Amino acid sequence: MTDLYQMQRAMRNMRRAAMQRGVVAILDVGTSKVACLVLRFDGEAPPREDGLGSMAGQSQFRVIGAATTQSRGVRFGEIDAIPETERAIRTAVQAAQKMADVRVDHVIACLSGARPKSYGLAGEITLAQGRASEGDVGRVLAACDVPDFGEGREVLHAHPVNFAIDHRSGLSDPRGHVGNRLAADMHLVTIDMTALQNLLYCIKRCDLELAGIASSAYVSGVAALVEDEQELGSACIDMGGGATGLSIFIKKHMIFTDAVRLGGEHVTADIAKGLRVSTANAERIKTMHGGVYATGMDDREMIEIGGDSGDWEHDRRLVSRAELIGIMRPRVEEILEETRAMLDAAGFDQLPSQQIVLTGGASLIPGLDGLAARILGQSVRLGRPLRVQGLPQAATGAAFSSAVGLCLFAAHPQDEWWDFEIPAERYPARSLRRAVRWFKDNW
Amino acid sequence: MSTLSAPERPAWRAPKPAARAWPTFVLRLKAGAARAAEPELTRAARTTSDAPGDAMLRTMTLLKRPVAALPKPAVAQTKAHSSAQTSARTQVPRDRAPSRLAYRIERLRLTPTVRIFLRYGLPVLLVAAVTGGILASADRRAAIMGQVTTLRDVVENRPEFMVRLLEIDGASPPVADAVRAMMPATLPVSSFKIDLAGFHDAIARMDAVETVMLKVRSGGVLTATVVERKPTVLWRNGNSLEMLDATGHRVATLLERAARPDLPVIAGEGAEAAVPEAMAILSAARPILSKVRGLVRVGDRRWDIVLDGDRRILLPQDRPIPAVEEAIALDKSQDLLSRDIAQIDFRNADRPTLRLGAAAMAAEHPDGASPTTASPGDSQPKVEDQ
Repeated sequence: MTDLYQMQRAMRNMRRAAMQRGVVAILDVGTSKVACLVLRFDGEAPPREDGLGSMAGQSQFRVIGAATTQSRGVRFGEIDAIPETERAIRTAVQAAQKMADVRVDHVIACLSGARPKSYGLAGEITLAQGRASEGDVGRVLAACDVPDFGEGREVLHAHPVNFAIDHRSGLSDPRGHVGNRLAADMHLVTIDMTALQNLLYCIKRCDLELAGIASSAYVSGVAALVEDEQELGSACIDMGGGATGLSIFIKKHMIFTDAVRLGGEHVTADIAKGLRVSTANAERIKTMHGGVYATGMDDREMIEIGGDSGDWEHDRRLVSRAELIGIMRPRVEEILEETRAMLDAAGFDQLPSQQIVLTGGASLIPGLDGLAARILGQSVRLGRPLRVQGLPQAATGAAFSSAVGLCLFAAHPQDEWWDFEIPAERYPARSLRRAVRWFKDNW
Repeated sequence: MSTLSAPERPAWRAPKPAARAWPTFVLRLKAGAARAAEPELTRAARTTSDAPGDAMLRTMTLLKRPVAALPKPAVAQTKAHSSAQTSARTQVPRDRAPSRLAYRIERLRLTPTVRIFLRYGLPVLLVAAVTGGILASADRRAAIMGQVTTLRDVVENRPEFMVRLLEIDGASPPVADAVRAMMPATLPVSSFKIDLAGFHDAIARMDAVETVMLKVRSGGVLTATVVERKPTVLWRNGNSLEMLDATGHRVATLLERAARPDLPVIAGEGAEAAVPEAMAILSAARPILSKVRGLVRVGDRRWDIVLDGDRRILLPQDRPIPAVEEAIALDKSQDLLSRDIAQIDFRNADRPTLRLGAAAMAAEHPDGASPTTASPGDSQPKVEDQ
C-alpha cells in the first residue's frame, strides 16, 4: 500500500512539474482510436466582475494540438499488441506535437478497460483534540479498512467522498469541525495491474513521462455531465469501441464505476459477419447507415454494401437498411442490458435523481437515446463533452468525452487519498531504525 | 413481440436486490463488489456465445422476414471471432507510424535549445565553416585576391576615370614647373591612383604658394588652381636676400637687390616675424619713401628707419607710427631730413633727440667739445645747426 501511495504521489508531483512547465499531453488510448491533445497552461484567467470564472473555471488551459489516429493492437480497452499500440501512440503524439509546435514530455492517460472494480470503504477515528485537523483527515483515510482486492490488482482512484463527524454526515471538508469521532467514506477503484503495466510500458517506450492516470469512465463523466447532474446523481455511460464504462456521480463525486467488455467494435464485427464484408466496410456501413429503429421506409432503402473481392456479383450486393438495423439492434440492446445490470447492481435506482447520460463514440448511433430510454429508464440524454478552449471542431464529438474529461482532470484533479499526508505512525519503523543507526555510525 | 412494446426483461437477469434504506448518499457498494467478483466468467462467456447468427435470427423474427431470405448465418465464423477481427483490421489503411528514430529526432527538433540552435547557430556555423574552408588554402586566397585586383583594375582603368591633362591656373612659370614636377604619377593615369591629398599638401608646402585647389574635371583634366604669395618686402638675412609676403612668410630667394628695386628692405634680428608692423611703418613713411633705404629691427623689439647717407630714425617699441608721422611733420615744416643729421631718436616719446652729423657738429663746436643734445620742455625739437 505504501508503494502505491509513493507511486501516486510521484505521479502527482510529475503533474505539478508539467503544469509549471506549462505543457502537458492528454492521451486516450482507446480500442478504436488513439487521441492525443496537447494542453498549454498559462495560469489562472483574471477574475471577472460577476465573480464567475470564465468558462466555468476551465479557462486556465488551452488545447494547442490535437491528433487522432486509428488504434491498433488494443482490444476491450486493454493493450493487446504492445509494439502496435506503441506505434499508434507515437503517431498521435507526433502529430499533436507538430500541430502544437512544442515538445511534450508529460502525459496524462486514461484506461477504459482493465476490469475496474469499485469498493466502498469506511474508516473511523477518534479525534484527540476534539477538532478535526488536516492530519486527522489523513488518519481517517488511512484507517479505512481496505478489502482484499486479490492478486494483480492496482488502485487507480481513491476518492474520499464523504466525511461524518459524530452524527453529522455529508461533510465535504471536515477540517476545523468540532467533534469526537471522524468517519470517512472512500471510493476505491482497482484495475488489473497487467493492463496498467502494459500502458506504462508503451508510454515509457515513447519517451514520455506519465503524469497522471484516470479511469476513462470517470473522466467521461467529468466531461459529459453538467454540474447539476454531478451534484444530484446521475450515471454516465461511456460507450467506447471495445468497452462500455459506467460511472455514477453524486455530490460531484464518483461513487461507482464498472465496465462491460462490449462496445462499438462488436457491432461492427456483427455487421461484418452478418453481411460478409470487411471490417472497414462494415464500419463505414455502420456509421453511414446504422440505426436501431427500423421503419417501413427502411425496408425500401437499399444500401450498397460494396466490397473488393473481384467477384462482381458479390461486390454489388444490396441490403436494406432494415436488415442492417436488424443486425445492429440486438448487440446494442445487449450492451444496454449489461449496463442496466450494472446499474441495478450498484443500486442506481436509490439515487434521488436518475439521469443517465450516454456518451462515447458508440452513442452516436441514430435512435440510441430512444432505445436506451426503453432499457435504462426514462431520463436518458446524449452527452457531449464540455467545450474547452482551442479544441478543434473535429474533436468536440461524443467520442472525445474521455479526452476532454482528461483535460479537466489535468486542470482540476479531485482530491485523492494520496493527496493527504500519510500519518506518521504509518511510516515503517525500519526507516526510523535506519536513521538511528546512521547517527550511531557517524557519531 | 413488436418493436414498439416495452422491452422484456431478459430471463438471465437476476431479480433486483431488495431496496435498502439509504444510510448516507454513499451507495453501499458491497453488492457491486460481490457482483463484480461473480459474473465475470458468465459475462465473458456470453460475450462470445451470443453470436451474431443468433442475434440475427432473433432480429429477423422481430422483423417478420423469412429466415431463408437471409444471408447464410455465419455460424462457422463465431469461433474465429477475434482472429477475424484482427485479420480484417490489418487490411485497413492506416496512418503511417513514425519509426522510433524518426519520432525521437522529431522530439529532439522540438526541444527549445535545439530549435534555437537550428534557427540561429547552425546557419552562422555553416557560413563560417564554408568561408573558413575556402580561405584555408593560400593558393585559393591568392586567386581570390588576384581576381579582386583584376576586377578593380578593370574598373579603375576605364576611360571615364582616366586623367590625361594637368592644367595649372594662376601660377608663374617657375611655380608651374615645380607643380608639374611634383605630379605623383605620369599621365595618363586613372584618377583613383592619384594621391590628390598628398599632391595638394606637397603643392601647399611650397613657399611661393599661398593656397591651391585640386579638382578632377570631366574630360580627364586635373586642374590645379594656385594662388601665389605676393612678395611685399625683402629681408636681408646675412648674405642672402629673401622675398617675404605681407604676413612675413618667405616667398623666394632673390639673388640680387636690383632685380626688385620696388620692394623695401628689412633687416635685423627677428625682422621677418614683424613684417606687418614694418609694412605699417613703411606705408606711414610714404612721403619720405624716396629717402628711405630700409628698416632695421633692433634687439627684436623695435624698428630703425635707415635713410640714405646712413642716417637713422629710431622708433619706439610701442606706437611707432605716431613717431614716424612726427618725423614727417618735422621734415615738412623744418625740412629736417635735408639737414646734416646723423639720427633722430624717438625712443622716448616725451623727449625726441637729434644727433647732428659730423660737419654740423664741427660747425657748432669748433673746440671739439662733446656733442650735446638739446631738448626743450615741449615736444618741438630744436634744430640747432641752422
